[in-house]
Amino acid sequence: MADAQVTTAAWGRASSRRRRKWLHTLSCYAYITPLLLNLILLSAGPVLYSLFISFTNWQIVLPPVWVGLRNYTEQFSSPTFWTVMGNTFYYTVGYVPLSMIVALAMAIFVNQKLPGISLFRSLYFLPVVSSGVAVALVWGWIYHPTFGVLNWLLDASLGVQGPRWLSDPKWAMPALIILGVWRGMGSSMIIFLAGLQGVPQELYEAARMDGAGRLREIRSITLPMLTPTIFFVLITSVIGSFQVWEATYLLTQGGPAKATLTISYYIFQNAFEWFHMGIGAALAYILFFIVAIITFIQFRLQRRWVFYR
Amino acid sequence: MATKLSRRRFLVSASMLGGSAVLAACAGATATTAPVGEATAAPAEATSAPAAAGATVKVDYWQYMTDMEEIETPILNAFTDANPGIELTWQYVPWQQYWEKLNATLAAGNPPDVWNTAPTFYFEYILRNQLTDITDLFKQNVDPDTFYTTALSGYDLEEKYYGIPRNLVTTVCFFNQTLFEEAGIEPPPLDGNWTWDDYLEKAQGIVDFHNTGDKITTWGGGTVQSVGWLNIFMKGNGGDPFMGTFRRDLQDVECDYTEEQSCNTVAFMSGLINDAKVAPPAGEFEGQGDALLTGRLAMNWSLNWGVNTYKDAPFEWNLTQVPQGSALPLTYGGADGLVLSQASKVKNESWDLILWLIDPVTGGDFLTQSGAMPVLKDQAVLDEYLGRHPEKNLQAFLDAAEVADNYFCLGYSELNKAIDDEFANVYLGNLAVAEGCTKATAAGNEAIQRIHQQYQEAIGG
Repeated sequence: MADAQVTTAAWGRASSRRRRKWLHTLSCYAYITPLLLNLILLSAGPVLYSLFISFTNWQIVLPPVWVGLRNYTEQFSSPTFWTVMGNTFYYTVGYVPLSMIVALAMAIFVNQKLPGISLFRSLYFLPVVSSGVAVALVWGWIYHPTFGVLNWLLDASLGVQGPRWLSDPKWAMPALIILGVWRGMGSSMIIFLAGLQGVPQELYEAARMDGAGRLREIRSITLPMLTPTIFFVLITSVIGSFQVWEATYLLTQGGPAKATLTISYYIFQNAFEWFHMGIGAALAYILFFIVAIITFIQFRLQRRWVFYR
Repeated sequence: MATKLSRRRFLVSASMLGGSAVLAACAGATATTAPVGEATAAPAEATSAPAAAGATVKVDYWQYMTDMEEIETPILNAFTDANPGIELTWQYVPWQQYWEKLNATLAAGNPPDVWNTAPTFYFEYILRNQLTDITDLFKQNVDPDTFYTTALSGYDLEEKYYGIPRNLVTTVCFFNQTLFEEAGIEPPPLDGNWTWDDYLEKAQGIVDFHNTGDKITTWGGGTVQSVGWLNIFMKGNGGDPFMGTFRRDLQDVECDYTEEQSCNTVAFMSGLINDAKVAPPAGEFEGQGDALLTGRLAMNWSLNWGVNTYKDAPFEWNLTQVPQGSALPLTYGGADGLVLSQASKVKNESWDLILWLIDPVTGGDFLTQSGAMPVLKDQAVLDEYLGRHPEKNLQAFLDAAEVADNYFCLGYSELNKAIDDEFANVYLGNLAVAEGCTKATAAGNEAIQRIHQQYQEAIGG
């Protein structure tokens, strides 16, 4: 009898624990319900639908026609696609290292305890929050071949006749890279700054006691301690550079002679100028796979150079 | 007995309530979304039905010429006043977003009843069966023979009309008379009797007089780079880039820019930049608005809108026809027009609106104030048009309209872009003309094939 009571009590406690656990689980799901709905309805749904669209010929206003893998296979035999990929890699290779070096240098500069330094921080961040259209208008004038300030400076300081920045196929992409670096450096700078401020000061103090100079501090303390931040900025910069669109759209529309036709702009052109939604979706998935592979490789390689404390 | 509400219990309850609220909101959204489809259908029927009993019907109209809003609004208001049974709504959508938004409404099944169109995006809609065949209505109400042939030429497909031209634009040569007078050079002849060699000579004279040293800041004349216009000038020089195969639906069409006359035309036009150095290279006037208006260009190619653009120019200007080609006096021309949606449930009332807009009496201000030309060869209408700017040689537009032509077709902008991208290297001086013509031919034929295949497949053809 006593055993039976013990068993009943134990069963009751177990049941209560299960109920509490179940309630806990339910409450967890309830907490994430809004985000989950958002993910399913606004992200996963369109992503899956666009995957389906990539296998069709869809002109928006007519029902999609299934074409299998054609939208993908045709790209690989199209000379324009390879031009587009070449341009995209050119932009990435030019933009990513330059923007990271400039942003890191700026972050080291604004990490000083100097009067008015917060003003500089704000100024460097200003391009990030400026309107893309306004930025394009201003840079359009800066790059103007005859009246632009850049060519005027080149002429006045070096006696060099500047190029036709946006209308010469050789210079149009460098022009977009410079603009991209200027526009994006503020956000990378802020991330680097946060990373710099997380480096323990006692490491610097110890180094100074051992007679290390400023450059040695940067090389032996700052950079190694900053590698997780550098890795994060590298990943986001590479992804961002593959998606460059705004500057192309506003300044060159992919020209001159396809010199700045990057994959994001090519997707836009196919989908929203010519209404070949299937081709646009296929190109978007090709972009996704390229970015995914590059990111995967970066994650594999990080073990060799990123130091986590 | 009071129950103590623990923090955990409160949070659990709150989150569950929150989740329920979100679900309820979603369900609510579905509930309100569903009747929208019914609601759109219902009023359409409702508007059609009571119309007979004197109630109003709704007609929706879209226009992409946003700068014409001020001119066109009084015309639309007058239509509403004259037709109390019709409730007219209208929207001005910029060109860049116009077709995207239009396609969205077509996909949703509620497009505007009447929309402004250009032959640039026209044949796609015919093939998708989204435009009403108005051939009979058109012929019953208007005599097609009274139209300029050029105006109609962008709107016909296999002798049927799905749109009606409203205003005609042609390419002419606008020139800065002040620059010519300062240089002591005779400006282009107003009767249009001049050749491309004359054009080059005048442009050279302007550059020589107005510039000193190596740096050119005042240019003689513009060049033509866009293949939409270039095709016509090639034809004027005796070429035929489509070898007689041209059809607006691109069925069995082929292009060839390697033939002598076409290639020579490209050589001349790119030579204005690279050899003679009388035409501004790409990017010279970037971000400065209209090139002629800067006062640093003596002659430029432009459409009728130039009349409005240059009206306050700080120099004397006039216009004449483009130089005559070696074979034919030809120029580019085409009409903006109006189409009636196949999905419209108020086609009669929509047709009334179209007639109102194209009628020179009720809709004439649109033409006379914008600079665009009437599409009708009605002498009284044309006299009024010429009388609006008697000091300018508007007769050049009328003469140009007689010899204007176009190659509007399915996927027009996509096709032109493919060819333009190849010719761009020639104009930039990075590619020999012959090689550029070969590449443009290949790119053009590849684009023709792709566009035709995409559309045939999509419409199940």
